[in-house]
Amino acid sequence: MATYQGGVTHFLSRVHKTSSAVGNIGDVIKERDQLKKEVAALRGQLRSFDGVMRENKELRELLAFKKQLTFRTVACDVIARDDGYGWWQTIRLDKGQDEGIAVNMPVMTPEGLVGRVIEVNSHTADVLLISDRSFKVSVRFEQDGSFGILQGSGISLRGDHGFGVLCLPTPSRVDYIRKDLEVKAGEMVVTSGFGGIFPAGLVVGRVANMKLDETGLYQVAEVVPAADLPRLQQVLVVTEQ
Amino acid sequence: MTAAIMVFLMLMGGLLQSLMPATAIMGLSKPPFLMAVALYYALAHPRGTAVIAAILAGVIQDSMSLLPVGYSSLCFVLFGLFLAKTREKLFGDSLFTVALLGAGLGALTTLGLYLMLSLNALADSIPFWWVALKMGGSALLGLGVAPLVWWAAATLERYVGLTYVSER
Repeated sequence: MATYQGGVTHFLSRVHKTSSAVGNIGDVIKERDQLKKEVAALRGQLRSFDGVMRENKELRELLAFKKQLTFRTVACDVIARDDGYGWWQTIRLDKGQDEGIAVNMPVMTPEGLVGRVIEVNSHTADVLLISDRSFKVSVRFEQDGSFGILQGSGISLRGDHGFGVLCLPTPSRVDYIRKDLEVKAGEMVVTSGFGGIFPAGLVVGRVANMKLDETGLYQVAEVVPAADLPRLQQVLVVTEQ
Repeated sequence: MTAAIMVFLMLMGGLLQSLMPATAIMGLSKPPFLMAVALYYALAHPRGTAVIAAILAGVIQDSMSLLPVGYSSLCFVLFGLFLAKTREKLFGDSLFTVALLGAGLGALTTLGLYLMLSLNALADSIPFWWVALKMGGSALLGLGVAPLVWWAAATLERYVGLTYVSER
């Protein structure tokens, strides 16, 4: 009898639980939807957190680099990426004359040289990038010790990035390198300090390729800029050398 | 009211032009909203108003870029005066004509700016293939933007009770 009663009770209990679950299915669906929204919101927060962490890391690197430097610099944010009409390769910074920035001051990141200031207002400054065709800087091949003039080569139209806003620079050129000099691919190129605008020893880029020029009398080096020009966010302006 | 509408169109044009991204494949040309506003005034308003619009559009465009102030104004005024003189011979009310004029002026303005930059030795490092790419990009963008701005400006003027020149 007891076994029979136990079985009936168990059966009734299961029926009750099942009917309750069916009755609460609306609440369960609501709860599921709510949880889905929370997961989406948390994923969004996580992505934003990743961005903040990345920015934090970049700022820490910039600060550490700034401390190593022997010259005075001002840290700036990049607030725009073109000259407004596409004639020149420029960026606009969020600091200007009032923060001690002047025309011809060098601009750099921990990775390497970015360009030089070409126009200054009270609170903004425009920087000509090293990828611009009108940009020239005296450089030295670090291992070989030979000198040359590096000139920007503009932006690349090849590949998918031709449709993008963030354009990749074509490797810059160093012309008139003597044929007998052995400059190897991968060699570091730094500023020579000649000309008085750029301090000596700033990393400009690495040699990607060496070839003979059209006349066959000199070598030409293709140099890939060390600074990540399409993704610049923070830079340092050298205010005193 | 004409002045208020003009200032509004200029400000909106300048804002849109500065916010729109440029692509390398179009020579980093921006959609020429300000040129389209100047074109609208050249075709639909008296010559004096067209000249003021051309100067204003040029000054705003140059002040948003690194171009010396006055270069774009000169281009817009020259093309605006030419259009104001010849508009009776054009089907100025047709959006197709406006689109073609937008494309032509986009390319010619780019060429005009390049010539002025070259005269002042500011474009020595810019190769002509890049200028040609910019001209093509400006023409394509002008083709799309000019009728859009024309329609918006004409609608706005009708809405506030102004009628453009061909209806007077």
